[in-house]
Amino acid sequence: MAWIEPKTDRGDSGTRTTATDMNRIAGNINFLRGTTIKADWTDADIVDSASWSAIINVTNLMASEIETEHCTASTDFANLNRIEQIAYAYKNYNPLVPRDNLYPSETLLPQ
Amino acid sequence: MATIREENQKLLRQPLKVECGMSVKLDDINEISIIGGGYDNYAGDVSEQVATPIYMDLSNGGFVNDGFAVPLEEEHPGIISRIAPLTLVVYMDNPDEVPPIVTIIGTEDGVLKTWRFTRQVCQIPGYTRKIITHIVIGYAWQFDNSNLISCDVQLRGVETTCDNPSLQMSEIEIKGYEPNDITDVISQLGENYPIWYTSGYLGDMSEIRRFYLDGQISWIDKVITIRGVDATKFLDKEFAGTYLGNTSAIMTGGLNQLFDTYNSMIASAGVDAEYTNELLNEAYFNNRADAVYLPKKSIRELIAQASNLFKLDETATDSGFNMQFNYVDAGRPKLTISKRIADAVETIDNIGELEITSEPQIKEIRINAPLTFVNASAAIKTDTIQGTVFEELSEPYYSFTASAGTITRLSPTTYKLKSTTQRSITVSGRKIALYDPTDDGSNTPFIYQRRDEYRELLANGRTIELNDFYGFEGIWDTSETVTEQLWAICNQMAAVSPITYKFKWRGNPHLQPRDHINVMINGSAVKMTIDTMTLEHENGGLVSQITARKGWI
Repeated sequence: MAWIEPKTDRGDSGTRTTATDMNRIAGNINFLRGTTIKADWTDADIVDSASWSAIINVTNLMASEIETEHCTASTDFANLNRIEQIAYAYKNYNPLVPRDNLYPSETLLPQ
Repeated sequence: MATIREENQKLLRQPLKVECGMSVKLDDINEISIIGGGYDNYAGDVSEQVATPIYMDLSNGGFVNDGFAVPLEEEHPGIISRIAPLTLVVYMDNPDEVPPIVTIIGTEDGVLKTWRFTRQVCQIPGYTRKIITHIVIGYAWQFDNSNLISCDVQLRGVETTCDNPSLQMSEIEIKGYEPNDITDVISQLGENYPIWYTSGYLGDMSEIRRFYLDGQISWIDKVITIRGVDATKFLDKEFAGTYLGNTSAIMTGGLNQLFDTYNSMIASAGVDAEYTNELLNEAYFNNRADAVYLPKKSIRELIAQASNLFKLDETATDSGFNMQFNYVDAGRPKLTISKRIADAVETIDNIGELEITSEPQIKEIRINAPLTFVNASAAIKTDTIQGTVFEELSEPYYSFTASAGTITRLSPTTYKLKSTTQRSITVSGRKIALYDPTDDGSNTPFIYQRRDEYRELLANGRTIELNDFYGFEGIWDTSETVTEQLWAICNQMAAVSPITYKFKWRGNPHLQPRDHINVMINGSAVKMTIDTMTLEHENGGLVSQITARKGWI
């Protein structure tokens, strides 16, 4: 499944999470980590405990690796934003940026 | 997620969620089968009415991001449908028997619904998500904010007064919308059907409070009114009376046996009592008076006595104990031996108009109890003395007088004993001399001396008479001391504040009678113990009235 730009701007508790949202969240995690979390939710489904736990656990693994704040298992809008923010941050995290802030195409001149 | 305490601090509080209902079971269900439309064909327990769950349901536009939706567990309560009609078959013990009436309660796309059928095969139509929480052969009504008109709950326990307190019943009145004509139905119903209530915010709901139908349901202008009282209704059953001695090799101390006796007493009335004794300290009990007499009276009266007998000791450490009655389920007695956790105390501010009253101070506590004499060296008990030596000519009683909240005087009444050898002895004042003619004829007296501390009595005060109270063996022992327990009881009673309060405030349905609270009055926190509490719900709002006594009792 291809990466889909995450949604991180849920404004309040009146917003809703649909099957499309769940497929994006799970699909992005699978894209980044090679996992096989269910990512083919439909409007007829109810999110089960095992799938939700897998999403939370893998998201927090990514958060730990990039040393950012974890998410919780809550289904409130702020936490759903956080889950997708972690995936976005993980995707754009590049640990190989040199300490002297050279761009990747640049090299240090031999001394 | 909203919590009651946080919302109570706000100027405009979010509407509270109220869920309540009643189930009238006419017969048992043997089996429920899902023959069409089941989500995972899991038929969870639907025998008890429960609050409606909210799942991470992706149908009907998805689940709301307010934090209350939870994922579905592999084994979940209730029956869930696909986005389709749901067809259930309800079997009675005789599978060929047609149930007279089946009531199914649940939600349809998140909205509380009731369906009724007069056949085995119950098909709930509609391409919608249905979550079934309760099925009964009989009738059931369930209300939430969508169909509830009002709900008034009055929570009561044992009164905090020392003056012969009584155990009061808690009550509930539910008014809800019922569009169907149920005149014939309600005319055939009996009493004691289970009613339940809970309120708060999702994630911070009160404990389920349970009541039992009391009186007839009314239905007028499509409004059903249901009234109930709590489980203490069943505690008017009489207890046979017993004398608990320290004879058990396993249980040490009369109070230990008293604790277990109360539990079995309540259970004998058909009421489930909850009890814990996590801080039971055997060494402590070993030092206590080890004989207790429980008189023959109703269980309700005995609980009322015990509730004020064993009062809270705020200074109790892990080696101490508080044996007290608390009330769960709006009245189901809960007996605990535990140390009160001060951090759990609610602080209430922004109260409405405050009424303060004061009773007269206690000046005297009279305990009318069976009188027992024990001489440790001769091991002669009361019945021996009374049966063979003396005949009581008047009712004796113990009298403790109080001054400034402490017991200062022990003063038995004047009474007369007549020996079978036709010798009369008048006993009063500081000494009692008893003669046992079964001795070698020398009439060696057993002499008991009492304390002789006396102070001025309060000029105005009230006398409390406790009749048929607990008798403690060893009161008149040769060490010339009153048992520590009886003194402690009277000290506690005399120390209870005569000041009571009454006020209205926004309410917290987690609280219940006998809970300790701190109430802010003119900027200072005043310790109080809740006596009664009302909860009045209407249109998602809540107003609560509390009566309380000063101090943590």
